[in-house]
Amino acid sequence: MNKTIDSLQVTASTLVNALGNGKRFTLDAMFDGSSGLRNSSYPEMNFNTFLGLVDKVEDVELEDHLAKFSCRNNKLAKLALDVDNFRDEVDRAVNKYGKNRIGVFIGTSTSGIAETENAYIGRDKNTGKLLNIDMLYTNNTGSVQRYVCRSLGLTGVGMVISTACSSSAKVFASAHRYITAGLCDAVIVGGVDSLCLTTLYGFNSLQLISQDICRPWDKNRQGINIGEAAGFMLLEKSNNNNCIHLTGYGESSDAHHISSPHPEGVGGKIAIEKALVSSGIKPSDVDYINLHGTATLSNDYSESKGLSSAFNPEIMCSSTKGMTGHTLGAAGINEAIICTLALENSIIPANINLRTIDDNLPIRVPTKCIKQSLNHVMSNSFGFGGSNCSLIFSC
Amino acid sequence: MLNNTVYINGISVIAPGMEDSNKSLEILKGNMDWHPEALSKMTPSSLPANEARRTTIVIRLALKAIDSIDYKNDTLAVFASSEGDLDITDKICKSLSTKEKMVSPTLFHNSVHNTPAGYFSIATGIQTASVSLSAGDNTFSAGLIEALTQVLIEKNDVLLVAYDNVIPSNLECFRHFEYPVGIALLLSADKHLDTIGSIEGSVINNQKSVTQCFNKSLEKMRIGNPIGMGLPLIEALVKGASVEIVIPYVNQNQLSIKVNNV
Repeated sequence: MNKTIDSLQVTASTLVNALGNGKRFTLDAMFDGSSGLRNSSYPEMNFNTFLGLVDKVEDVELEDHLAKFSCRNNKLAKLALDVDNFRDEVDRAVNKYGKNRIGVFIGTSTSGIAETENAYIGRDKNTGKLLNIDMLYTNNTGSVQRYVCRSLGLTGVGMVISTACSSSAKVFASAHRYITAGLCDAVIVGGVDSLCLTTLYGFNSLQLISQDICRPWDKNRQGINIGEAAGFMLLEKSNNNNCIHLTGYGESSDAHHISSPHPEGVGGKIAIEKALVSSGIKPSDVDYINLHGTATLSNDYSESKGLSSAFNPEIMCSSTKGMTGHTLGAAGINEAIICTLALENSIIPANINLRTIDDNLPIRVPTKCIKQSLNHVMSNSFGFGGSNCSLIFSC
Repeated sequence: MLNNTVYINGISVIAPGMEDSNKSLEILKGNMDWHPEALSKMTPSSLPANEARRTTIVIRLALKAIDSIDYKNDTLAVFASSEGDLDITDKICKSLSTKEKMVSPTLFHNSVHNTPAGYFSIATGIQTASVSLSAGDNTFSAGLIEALTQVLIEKNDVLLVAYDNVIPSNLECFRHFEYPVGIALLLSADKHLDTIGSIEGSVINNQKSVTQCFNKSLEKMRIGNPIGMGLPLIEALVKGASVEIVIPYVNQNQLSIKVNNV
């Protein structure tokens, strides 16, 4: 089959999540199967669960001239921009292409809403007046894209995509189109989603939060642990065959239910098939799939159904959400970077926390990491509203 | 840059005093002044009653803007909104500031930025992709560029709907929109018998003056809501004018749109 899109080279990346600040902590966990999830507390949270918190986000100080962007989400973004040598790589790209020729496409679900929550919690008891906030720079869904542009000194095209848990997977598709259309020569794609009461209490109201550590693909899985993460990748037109490339993307809608996936995984399957077509590979060419694998009853069932109709049952899959938690709008980039680490280091990460196999899930997952050379890996992300995206990375 | 022609095969504007399509057309052609009137409940015909009951003003504003557009069942869709549903943010944050912190499950699942896109796909059964985006005050131009790249690269029709409601009273002192506005455009690589006009978009550095509304009475809507920035383009298309429209875009860039009568 011929590929229908050109590959984009992954030149640099950076990742901050509950495992640590920098990709090497996530890579360590991929080898040793450790988890960043802790039975921890969060201000104003009064129920019990495990969380994938990033250490000391609240202590981060933004650049003086960008202080008005100050909120947990943009602080988390800065943590990621500051590690993994990412700023140096961006500077190199700026020298090569110019600051106005690098697009910035970021996914987030809740942006800086934690600031707004605090404004209500701290409101004046007598007048009802909220604490002062700069909504356009914190709460606004587009805030993090503007913060990243200004922090990196970039002046090109871009936007925020906010499609719940597929947000920072879909940025790859849009960014690819902008490069193909000639609107930019390189792109920074990424995702940033930070802990907030809205998602903690919201998912709790839907009875989708596990009190226990989350157990994707387990027969007794009870739901998600919410995590936070920020990650970015620099993608350029390909000129080096020895690098890892984004080789495929596919997007679809479930058209089924606003907060439940299609039970047979039909929407997910459409996204997977489109990704395969765009990269010109067959299902049997895929060496590993990083699952959406949230550990809710419905997601894991629906996803396994969709996968089993697209792949043969021996396909190698795992969910890494037992390590990082479900990082929601940052899940796409978190797991895209895990896929590139898998390719670089020839490792399939374990599906940790799995104790009891669920016979209703037709796809099996390894509970120990597997060292094996990989050519093509896929990452799946499915969001509320039935928004699905599947990505393929190759080396 | 984007130098390929894209055809506009459908247009709709929903705003106070512009719900009647004939009247709306006269205002957009410049034959009548615009006077804001209260918006109706905006019940979109596409939603079954049980789904419609769970919707909010923002969801109905987005879906009502699409209502009169004749799209195919494999259309791609771009949903562009600066603020999404702040009525829901307001209600959830109020709950979170109480001791019990009881968040309604319906409110929460309606709170994501892509909720209108979700209802759209459920109502129509359309399983092709949609994207939901924001770019602060430049959300209309960001949505239009996303739609243009999708038409050109994915070689498919794209339904663009851009919408923002007014800000709830608790948050109005931090951000203020004068009126709710919803604009929908059907973009296509193909010219049809009922094609309204064609556009060519390109991103330029900030150097030209931003196009104002031709009908001066619409200026307060253009500057009173980020989505209002799209009104001069709609006016040019409706009038069949061949002009260049300049709209602000991210990072102090601008979107230049050459509109042509076809």
